[in-house]
Amino acid sequence: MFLKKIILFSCISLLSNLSFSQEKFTVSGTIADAKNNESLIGVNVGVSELKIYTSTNEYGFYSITVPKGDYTLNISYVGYKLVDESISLTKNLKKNVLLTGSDEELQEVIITEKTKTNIRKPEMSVNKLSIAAIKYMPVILGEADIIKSILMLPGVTNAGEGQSGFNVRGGGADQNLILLDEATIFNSSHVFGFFSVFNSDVIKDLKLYKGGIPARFGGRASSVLDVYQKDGNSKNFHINGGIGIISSRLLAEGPLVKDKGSFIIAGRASYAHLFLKLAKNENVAYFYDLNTKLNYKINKNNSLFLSGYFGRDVFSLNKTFTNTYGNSTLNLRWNHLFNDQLFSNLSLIYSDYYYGLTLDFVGFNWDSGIKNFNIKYDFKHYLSDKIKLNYGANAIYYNFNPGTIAPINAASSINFSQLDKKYAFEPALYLDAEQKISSEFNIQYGFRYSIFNRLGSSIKNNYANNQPVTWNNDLKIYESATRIGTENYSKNQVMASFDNIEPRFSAAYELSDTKSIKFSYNRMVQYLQLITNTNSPTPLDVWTPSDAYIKPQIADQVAVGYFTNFKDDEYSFEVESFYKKVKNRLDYIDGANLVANEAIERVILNGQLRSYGLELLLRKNTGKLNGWIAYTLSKSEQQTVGRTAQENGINNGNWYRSPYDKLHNLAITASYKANKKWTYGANFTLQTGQPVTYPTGQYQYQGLVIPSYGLRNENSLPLFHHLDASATYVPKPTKKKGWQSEWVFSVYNIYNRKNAASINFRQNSETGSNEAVRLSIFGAVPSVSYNFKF
Amino acid sequence: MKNIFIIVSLLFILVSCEDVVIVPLNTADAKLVIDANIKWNKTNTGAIQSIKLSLTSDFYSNTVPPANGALVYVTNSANTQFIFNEVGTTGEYTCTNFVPLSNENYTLTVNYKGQIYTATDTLLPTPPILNVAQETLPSFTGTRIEVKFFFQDPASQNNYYLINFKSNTELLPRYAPIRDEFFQGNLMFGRFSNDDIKAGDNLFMSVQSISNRYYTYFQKLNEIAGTNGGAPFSTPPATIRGNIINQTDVNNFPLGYFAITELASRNYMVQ
Repeated sequence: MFLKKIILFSCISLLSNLSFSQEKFTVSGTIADAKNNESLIGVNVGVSELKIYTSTNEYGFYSITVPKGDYTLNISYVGYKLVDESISLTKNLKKNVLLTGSDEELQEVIITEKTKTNIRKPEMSVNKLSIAAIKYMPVILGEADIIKSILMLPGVTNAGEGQSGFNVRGGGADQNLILLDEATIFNSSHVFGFFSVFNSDVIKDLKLYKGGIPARFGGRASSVLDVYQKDGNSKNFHINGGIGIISSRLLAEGPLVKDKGSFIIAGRASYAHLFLKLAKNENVAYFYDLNTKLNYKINKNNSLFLSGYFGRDVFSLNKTFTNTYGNSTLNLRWNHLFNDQLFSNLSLIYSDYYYGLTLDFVGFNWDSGIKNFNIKYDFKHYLSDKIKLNYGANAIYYNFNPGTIAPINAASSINFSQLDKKYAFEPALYLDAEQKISSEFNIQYGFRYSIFNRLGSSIKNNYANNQPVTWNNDLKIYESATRIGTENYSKNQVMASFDNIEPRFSAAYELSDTKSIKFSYNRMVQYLQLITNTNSPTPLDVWTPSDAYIKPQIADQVAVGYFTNFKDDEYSFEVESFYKKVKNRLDYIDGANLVANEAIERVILNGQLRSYGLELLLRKNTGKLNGWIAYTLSKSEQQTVGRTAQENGINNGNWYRSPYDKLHNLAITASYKANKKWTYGANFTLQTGQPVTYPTGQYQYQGLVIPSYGLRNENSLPLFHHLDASATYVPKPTKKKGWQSEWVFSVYNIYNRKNAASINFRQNSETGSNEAVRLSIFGAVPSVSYNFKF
Repeated sequence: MKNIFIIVSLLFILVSCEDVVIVPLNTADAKLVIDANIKWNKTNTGAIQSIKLSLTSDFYSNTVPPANGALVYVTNSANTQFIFNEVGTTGEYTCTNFVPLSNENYTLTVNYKGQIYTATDTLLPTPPILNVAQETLPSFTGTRIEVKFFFQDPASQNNYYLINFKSNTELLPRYAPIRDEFFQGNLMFGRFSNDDIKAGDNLFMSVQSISNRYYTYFQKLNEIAGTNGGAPFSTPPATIRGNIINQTDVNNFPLGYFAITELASRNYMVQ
């Protein structure tokens, strides 16, 4: 019913728009960097006279339809010179524009300059970071890191130093949809979270949606991190690279066919293990990744893109323990322009995540992973100056391998065992409209309709009363139920089916030329669950589809905000408040064992998660000194009540702090361009410590000292803070051709704060006495790296 | 996983460090702890058995306050009562006329300060230890000695075992609950290794057949016990409930577990 109403409403509003027929023409085209033809995403394009604005899409395309007449086309973009072009619209006009950088330097894009808040667009809770800004941020061991840089944004935290993933607005790390050229990345970290899988050299653009998520995205409850790879320089051949303490990078790009097609290939590898080899140490630990992209412009209406990513982490201890994991993706896209107002993109995407473990001393080999195939067709329809439609459909087929266990040789006493493979199919379609109601009022509204089918061939476990977790009323604890039977499903037979309508709505109302208020609501449905009960994800956590026992997470989020630019756009100030509630958030019974658990439903209860907060962001956009101060005040809590009056639920059924609850979160980042040769950067982070559970006593059992615990997450680790600084030196800033280079010096955690990654309560193995032990990962860490380009 | 984490940190030449800190902790009201793991080593009659009663205390205190003056007995299915008498005021209760029988059901009853606690368990047969093997393996720091003992898992049933090692090189006993899930009907083993053991060291090793519930209990216990507490990838800690019920006030539950098992053991001198 609801769906029908939305469609009806959409149609009426469309018709009401189209009925004012007047002679109108379209100006459209792509906007790219003059230096390398790299298309630019999110460039503001406007017709000044009519105050009609749009921005380029993910492929640099824009389209504006206005009544016949003479206008000024106004084009502005971060770090590029403004372009004002007079146009005379007497027929549809193709206008491709090349922008020149406002400052020529090693970086493709210079920090900020016109990164002012877009107050007009009904887009909120979205942060964009320029890759140049990321590169000036001081980071651990000098590895420019996208994931670490988004932690400086309001509403984003993680589980501490050296931890993987990130948490958006009090949500779990599994609730982030991470896309690299539209392909899903399942694990965003190298080395258990020390580095991110994104090689910053090859990244063109990234956008983090924390709320008001457009209808074209779905499948995760909390956020979308949309990362785009560069297309490659189609004018000239270039190589750039960097040498750091941990890893080195090399990137090559150039034209395939001049001005029509280009390639880019970038690799990165760590080499700490080489030193170990020199030291005759048998241990191995390294990571590497490879990014590639080809694009070819067939004609003015058709372009093809082929992009891929392959990354692996390898650890080996004495050849007795070997661990390999990583993501790979492959993506073929076809851009087609049906006409000046209808842009389309068809994508065929494959992505997988692999995790393998060999334990030589147990004679054990373990393989697991997730593969998915995604076909996606998206349309952008620039109907008129008042309305733009986005619609499309996609379908994903998943193949989960929870684990293949095999003996490594004939001598091993391990039996071969294949944990039941899981299959699922997730089709969806969406429609949303961006509509200008009046010159002050813009709205975006739409919906996503998603279906999820868990498919055979597979075996479903049956339990008494359909309850895989039972309540032991004598002991007052939850226990795993015993299977009473199984049902076999044949190939592609539907085992469980879900469908949901996910409404999306956002609105912006301009109070003046420099101030606006915005509102957004979104519902997100997440059909895949990451099975983890540690505070941050680990590489061996397995993804599992919703099924008869595990329901999809359904998140509703509302947000309101006030946005302003002041002092001639030199400063921006944003305030947002949000409330998010997630149904069917998994909770785990006490001491649940998740690894190689064939019937994961037997340790899981369905609970809920809620978070709410206030985010403040003050940004200085221009000048030699720029940066921002972000402060977030928020709560994140979860609750799992008993299913019957008899049951206690988790934590007595009360709301308790989720592992991502950080009451205060302050982040300050600044960069200062002292002169042509030197640029300085600094970061400061201060946040409430991670929620943890401390013991409330101890006792002895069979000669072991056992701490006893009260309720979950009642304590916090000590306050977390550190200050980092960097300096970038360009020896020959005026050199624009041939060998160009720069040095980046940085110190992480300048005042050597020993932040607690964890506090362990244990018995000292030598003295036998009990003690609390703090594990801190990074003290002050200096580093230097050298980047070059020719 | 903790070791992996630390080694990874080392490999990356990071300055990760562990130091002892003072964290102020709240102490909850004292609870009764029942340490009742009755072991029948088949080399003897198993007539002498003991159960330990204590109370929880402040985490940093390092003392184990005994629970004195309790009435403790175990009954079998024929309702024969085996009384456990306290030795002085040690909180240790012993029995000298216990009769263990394979596959027999036993019930523990404790009456402490007017509250009655009960638990039941079945004595499962344990396969004998077949042989002990020793190997020298390369390690992170050089070489280390590894000792394994083997026993035969019976096919066509799910079995759970508790492996125990005591070494003169380690202050604390080691326990490992294991199951035959991937070893059904095969030769299974217990494995001990550390950097310090050398020829001439003594090693006590044992295996007990245990119930699924005790296996789960020990798994949870191992996660938080002794020197393992709160490793980086461990699960959030929680109070671990055993199988003992307070019949008088169900919410005032005791800690500990009542298990009755057959024990196969070896004393081994490292070669």
